[in-house]
Amino acid sequence: MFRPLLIVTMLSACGGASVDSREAELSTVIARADEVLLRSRPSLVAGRYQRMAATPFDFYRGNLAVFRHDWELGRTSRSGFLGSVPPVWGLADPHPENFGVLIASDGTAAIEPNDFDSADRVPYLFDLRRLVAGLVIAMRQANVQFESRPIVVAAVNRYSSVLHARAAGEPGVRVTVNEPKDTIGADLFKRSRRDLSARAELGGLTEVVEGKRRFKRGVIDPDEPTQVLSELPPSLRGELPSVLRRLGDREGALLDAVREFGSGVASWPRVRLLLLLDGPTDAPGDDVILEVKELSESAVAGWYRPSLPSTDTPTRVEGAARRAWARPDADPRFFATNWLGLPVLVRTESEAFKGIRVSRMAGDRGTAAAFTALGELCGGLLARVHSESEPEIVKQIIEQIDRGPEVFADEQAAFADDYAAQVLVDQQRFASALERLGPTLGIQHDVREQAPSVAASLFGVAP
Amino acid sequence: MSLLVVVSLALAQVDAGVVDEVDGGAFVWSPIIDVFGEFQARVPRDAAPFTTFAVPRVQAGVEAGWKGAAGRVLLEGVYATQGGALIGVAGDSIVIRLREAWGGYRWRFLEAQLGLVPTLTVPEVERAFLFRELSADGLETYRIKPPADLGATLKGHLPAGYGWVAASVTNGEGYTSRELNAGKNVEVTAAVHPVPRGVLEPLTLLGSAMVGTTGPSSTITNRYGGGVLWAGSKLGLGATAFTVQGWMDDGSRRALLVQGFARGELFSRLLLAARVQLFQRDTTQDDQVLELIGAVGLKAEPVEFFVAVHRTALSGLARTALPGVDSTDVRAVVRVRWPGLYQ
Repeated sequence: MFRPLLIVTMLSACGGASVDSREAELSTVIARADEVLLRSRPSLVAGRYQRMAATPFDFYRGNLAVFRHDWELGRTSRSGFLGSVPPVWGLADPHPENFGVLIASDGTAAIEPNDFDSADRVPYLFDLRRLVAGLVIAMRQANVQFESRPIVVAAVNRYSSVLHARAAGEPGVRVTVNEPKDTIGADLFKRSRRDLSARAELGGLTEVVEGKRRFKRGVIDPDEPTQVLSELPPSLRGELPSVLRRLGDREGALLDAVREFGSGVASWPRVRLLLLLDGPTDAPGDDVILEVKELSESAVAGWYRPSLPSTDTPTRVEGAARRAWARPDADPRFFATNWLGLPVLVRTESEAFKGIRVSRMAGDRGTAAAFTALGELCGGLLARVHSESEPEIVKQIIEQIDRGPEVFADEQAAFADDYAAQVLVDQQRFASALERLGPTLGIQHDVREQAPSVAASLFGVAP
Repeated sequence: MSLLVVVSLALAQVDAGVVDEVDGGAFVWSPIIDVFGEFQARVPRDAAPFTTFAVPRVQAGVEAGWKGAAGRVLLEGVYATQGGALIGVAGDSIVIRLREAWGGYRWRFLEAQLGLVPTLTVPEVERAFLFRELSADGLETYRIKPPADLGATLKGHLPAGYGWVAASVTNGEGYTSRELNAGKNVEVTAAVHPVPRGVLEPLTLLGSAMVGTTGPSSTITNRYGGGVLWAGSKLGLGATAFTVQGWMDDGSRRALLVQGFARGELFSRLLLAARVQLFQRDTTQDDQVLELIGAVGLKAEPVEFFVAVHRTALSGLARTALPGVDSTDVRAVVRVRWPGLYQ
């Protein structure tokens, strides 16, 4: 009599063991977001997951799909200050490590947003919360012992004040010098200047053989054994001039090219190439390195369909950068295009382009004053980005904040504290899911589904 | 005992069945074409108004039957190229993928299908509403149940036109995704016509229970529900409710979908349709999506044309959680269809 019921139970439960429900949710959301990559380049996604499991901030860098998921389920979107504000032109992933120094065409340095992979139309609070939660997670990882609330409040207040100033007609400020207490910004500028004059990227990534500069191959930094430069198949190398067409005659001839593995977190499995171009003189000391990075659809795509923000991914990413920067040539070699059917980003690869790194938030860069200054810096830059949206939208954001600025700041501080605590536990859960399900979260690769040879050689395999 | 009676009656019948009704034993085949085109003026609550042309559905296929065997291959065009899924195709292109691909056999009152099969519940509700071009059913829209999945179904037709009882075993990830765990979804659905003759023939009582999982960690996705449907050719009515255990990859979430609809055809040409749908995204919180559709249309087979107003309203947590969804749409919709043999 109970046999049919037993069969149903066996079929539906087959393979399913009881696990923590949030752990199950995390693994499913992340695997679903990465499913295409997990099928086509599993070893590279496994590298990304390993990196995400290593530290809370690396997990946060790779969890944008989870952040969106939590937003859609009402966990991170609960607020009294969203109203009916239309979406802004946002960054979608403005955590602190996505800001850093860029050197413009006139040689001046400024701190700017430097990652536009997911930039899209977003609710303004989505961006602001992604930032403030990132600040608190950075603090937790740096193991500092002070309260997070004043830091978040400082970031939110700077965000608000810059928005007010922009709405009043004041120009956007280009951050070319650090504020007095901004030890993190000061460190960025100092190391940027040092590496700019030394052309440190040439020393680190290349070698001169018989008077000609070329990339090194293999592991470059023993402290980063997963970061590897490897040979590019000749068939792909022959296609490279097409990706550089937009540079015209501004740069020299292509001297060398390599595939770079193991860089970034969210973009770890993506195709990444380094190109070495001949400099203005015959001397090997003025050669230039460019990075070509595969782009994907924004992790927040689809919210405002069918009103797509751009006709395609390269247009979306390049448009976001031009709007976000204080000057359009913040990185003079930055552009996005299509190459072999893949949307790609081309930008300067330079050791002078220093990004903010949580690993450096120690000593005088790990104080309450340093984090407060960092919050103000990033909050102000995010407001400058948002202020490039339509004036009516900026006005509506200001109206929302002005309904209760202190309550607004407190709301974001409470959110950031809660979500940071959640991320710390989520990172442990994610590590546990990897242990339980395997390095590709249980998605089995089928050799019959291997990418076609051209694509396979383009994607590569983790060394 | 009652089960034995039903089974005995069923075994005793020599039910001609769908396939035999269609082909009479001879080889038959038919193309399937179903195309929607629309012009939409959308006024979102939190974004600027805009207008757009869209092709929400393009389906084309073929199906054939011979003696008891039947099969269908159905293709659909969708927007998608992400994550390097298609090398050499840049941008938001329209690509073709399989929507159904199954082979089946019918013996007496039993009908089996194997492959990429239509699921049991969504097509039955849509058969009563008929005008999918106005909106997909809430079960599909809110990702509660997919309209097709990889698996197998076994349907037992009840005698004397009393309807059918069916069971299916499917991957559970829907036809748009591959299996992500070892568990299978098991669904049992019954569509019963309590009065199979006379004016009450279109009356259908629908009941469905599905237990299953999704994702690599086998997150629970159980669904229970049903409703009362009236699936007449000139009049369609329906009221359904489904409880949801596990939604949006959150196995602990409980949700509820309730909907009612009416459609009618007057003077052989004039079409009228209305639908209200309430989705309680979390039964423990204030978190709802309400959809209202009203439409007036004309029919000249195989073409249907509608002017529709579609209001989507959010309340509670959903207001901030779903950017761009709260909106009023005014749409002009055209549908051209040749439904094939086994609709």
